[in-house]
Amino acid sequence: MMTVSQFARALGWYSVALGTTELLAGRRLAQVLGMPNRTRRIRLFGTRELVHAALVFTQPAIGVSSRVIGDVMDLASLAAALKFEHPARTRVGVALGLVTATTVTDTLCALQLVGAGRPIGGVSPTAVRRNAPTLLQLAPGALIVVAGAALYAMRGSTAPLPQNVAQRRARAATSGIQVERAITITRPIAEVYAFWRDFENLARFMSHLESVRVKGDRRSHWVAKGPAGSRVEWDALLTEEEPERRLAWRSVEGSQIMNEGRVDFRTAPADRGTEVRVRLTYQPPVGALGAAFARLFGEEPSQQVDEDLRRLKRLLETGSEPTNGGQPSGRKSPVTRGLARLYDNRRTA
Amino acid sequence: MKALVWQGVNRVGVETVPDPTILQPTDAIVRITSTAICGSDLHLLDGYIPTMVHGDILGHEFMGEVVEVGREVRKIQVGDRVIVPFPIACGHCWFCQHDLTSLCDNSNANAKLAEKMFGHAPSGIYGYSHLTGGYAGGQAQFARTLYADENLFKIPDGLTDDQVLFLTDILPTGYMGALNCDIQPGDTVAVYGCGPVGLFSIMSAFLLGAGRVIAIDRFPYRLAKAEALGAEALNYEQEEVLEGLKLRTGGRGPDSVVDAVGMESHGLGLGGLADAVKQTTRIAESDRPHVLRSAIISVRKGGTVSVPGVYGGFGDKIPLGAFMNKALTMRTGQTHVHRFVPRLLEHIVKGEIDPTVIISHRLSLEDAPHGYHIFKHKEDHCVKCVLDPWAD
Repeated sequence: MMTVSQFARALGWYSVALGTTELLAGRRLAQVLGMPNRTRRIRLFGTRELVHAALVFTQPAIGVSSRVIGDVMDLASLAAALKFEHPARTRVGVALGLVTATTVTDTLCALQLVGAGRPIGGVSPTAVRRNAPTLLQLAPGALIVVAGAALYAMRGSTAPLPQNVAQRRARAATSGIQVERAITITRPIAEVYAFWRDFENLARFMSHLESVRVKGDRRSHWVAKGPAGSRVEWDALLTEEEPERRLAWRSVEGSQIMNEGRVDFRTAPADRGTEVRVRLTYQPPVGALGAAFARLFGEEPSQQVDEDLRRLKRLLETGSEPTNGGQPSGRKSPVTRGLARLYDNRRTA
Repeated sequence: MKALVWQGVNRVGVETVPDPTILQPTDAIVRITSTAICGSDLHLLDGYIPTMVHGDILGHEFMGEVVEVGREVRKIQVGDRVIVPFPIACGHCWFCQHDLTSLCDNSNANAKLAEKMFGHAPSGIYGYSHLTGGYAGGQAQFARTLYADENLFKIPDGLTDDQVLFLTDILPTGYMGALNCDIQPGDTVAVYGCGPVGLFSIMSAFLLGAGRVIAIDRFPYRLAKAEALGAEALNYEQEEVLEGLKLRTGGRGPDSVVDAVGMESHGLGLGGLADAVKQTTRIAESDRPHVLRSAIISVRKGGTVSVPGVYGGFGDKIPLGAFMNKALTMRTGQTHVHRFVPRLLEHIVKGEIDPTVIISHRLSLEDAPHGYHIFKHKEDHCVKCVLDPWAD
């Protein structure tokens, strides 16, 4: 059985190991945890660990108590890094778990060393010789398991980030929305081009648009649905016009939301109709309006544009979109009605 | 009106719901005279097709009389007696124009949902989850049908409901299952599953020139039905399928096989148990592909595996090595019903196909939950339940 003082010494060696690692491999550790600019802080923490170790070997009660304070500092640093967009969230989470387990162990050990009613630093002699309580006996095992899990989670830490994390980072880095999608419409290219060339038609299938009014040969006025029932308006200029091949437009200088679009038309092979390939770019202003506007596009702007293009296809091929809104069902509770609505696309052209 | 409603996994019930109305100018309302429970409805009952919601009206095999049409409907008139194919065709997209109506681009109101699961969205289907459009089904007294001109087929006088009802799904499905085998004169075809679709596959295989059909099932009463149609029976609980088929075909294996079972097939032994457990979790595996595995292993080299049976998600341990090294072909799909109705109607009129032989039960709509029960558990020698929505 391990006595409390043996246990304290073990924690001292833990500090030595961790401190040395942090000092010597600070840069690598920072990279693994996805905070490369925190190398200096990690090295400082390493020095701190060595101080803990020195205290534990000389003044066990003070040393272990100082470890508890150090643990709290570690917890705070790690928790600050645990943001949604943090690329190595899992690894930071695992490190947090390891430090949490360590904190619990340190606290238990410190409480054993500091007898009730004694001044801090005065070690109860009975406590030192006493066998550590069961909870403390289990701690080393638990720590090894958590540390193992941490190492496992950090394996292959030089591998590229998972794709979704990389995408999320890329999206966070650019404030604008850029989408490129394609669809095939089983109608002659002349008809599809003519429909799009009349920009007023765009509001019939682009869900975020309320209306488009053609003001002149190349100029049009666009009204988009803004946040909370408001509207965002701008003027756009036709910048490219190649009949049955390409259309491009751009909002005029000084528009609230700078945006541009381009659509290419191509005859699809055999009798498949027309391929339509669209590229939209929006630069919402920074701030609340921009954020709310971006929200209108939903989590996945590309999916929104997919839906818009599908609406265009259905409009041109069949004249409308199919709907199931208003049909009978045996639903009586608002919960099941809500679930059905979640699945069903209620928008109609 | 009265309608059969999905009330959760393994629960269906008849409820009074509002009558359907014309929602779009191309719609028609049909007063249903006959409707049926399909084997694929059992996948909904068992909860293996995702996106079902309490209160959904089931049923995709129905026929009746047109009682109201939208203002843009031209070819169909009030009073017409019609059958309604289960896949909904818009009639205008490339797929509809090429007789691939179950792949219609435009009829699925929830295409986004289906695209997420399948990459591309198949057509809308009546009463078959929100993944296929969330349309109310036809195990009811009335149904709203979409794109009436493109979908409703007028039935010539002199044919009974029983004769033409199965043109809505299972007869064309069995037929397409056999057609996809690319049968050459004298070929041997093995059909897994002697339910309604399997039995129609057997009939169709003979019609398309098969020399022999070997029917595989575990229920003697269903195997007897297959034998009555001219097939040879193989009970997979008494005989190992691969060896049984080899013995019957001089070791070559059947030239083509039809999987008329789908995602809830029953496997034997430890493998069967493992799949059943995994499927129950819905996450480890959504489909139990025993039949598909067996079909790939037992078909002859260079043969064809035809899959009319419904799969919904993911299956494990498909023997791709056998599939590749034996140079097999697999053909599948929801049925392009519209393509096959005219020719099958002709076969029925000429007496070359009698679809009524598979009917084992006639029930009122009120008794539909009982019908689901006996159909699922193979009780009372159930093969096919036809429902009368207006019977007491």
